[in-house]
Amino acid sequence: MAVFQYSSSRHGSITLMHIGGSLDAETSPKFESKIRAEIERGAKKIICNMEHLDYIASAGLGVLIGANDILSKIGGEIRISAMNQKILKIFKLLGFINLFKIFENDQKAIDSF
Amino acid sequence: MIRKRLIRFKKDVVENNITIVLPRLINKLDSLRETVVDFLNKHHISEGCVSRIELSVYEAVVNIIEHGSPQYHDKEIHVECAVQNHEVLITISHYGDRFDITKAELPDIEKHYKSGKMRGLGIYFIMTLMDKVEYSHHDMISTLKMVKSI
Repeated sequence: MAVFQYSSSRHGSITLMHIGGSLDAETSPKFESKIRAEIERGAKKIICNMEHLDYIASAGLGVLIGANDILSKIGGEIRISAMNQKILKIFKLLGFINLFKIFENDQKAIDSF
Repeated sequence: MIRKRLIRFKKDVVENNITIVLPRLINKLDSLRETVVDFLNKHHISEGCVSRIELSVYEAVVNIIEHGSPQYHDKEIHVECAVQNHEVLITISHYGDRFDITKAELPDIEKHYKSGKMRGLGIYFIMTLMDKVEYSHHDMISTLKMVKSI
């Protein structure tokens, strides 16, 4: 069974989400419900820390794209921090590297908003 | 049906190839990924190639599970992985209706992204990450062959 970890914290107007494990067809619905709940609670500026994300499949990317679409309509955005090399390579191979703003660490991502 | 469910997952490792037989259950895909990655690592395939193959196999099998007709739900999926002549050959076969992913229109990623679509990226992943993809359908058996040079 795929493992997915999630935690979130607020930094002023910014919501920082730490996601870890696998973000795939099995775990993406859980991630989707978490991120939608954050948006319903008023989150507009969201940072996804992917340091401990081991695997991402199309379903996981689909959730990120869908959530970012919702946020863009209300003036918000998802930005990514601390993406590990394995996931970064996948993003590059698939041409997703330019779709999200990616930062080296949380602080740089927070400062970017 | 109960006996099949109990088998859940079986694998046979023979030198340069591996065959994995799995039920059409999303929660079995983690084991599939692990088995394929272990096999490729034993053959000292580069990390980049392993990631590409791991993701392509996963997406192909997810497509079968999520989009296959419910009437074939109890039919198992066969995944063969072989290392030969500087390439990895993946063969995925299953009982079901014809659906040739090589004929599917690939999304324009920028447009897809802007449209906020959440599905349909799996085929794009496979066609982007693998060097060669072939599909055939005979006697209700769909076979997808994917090749990655190593």
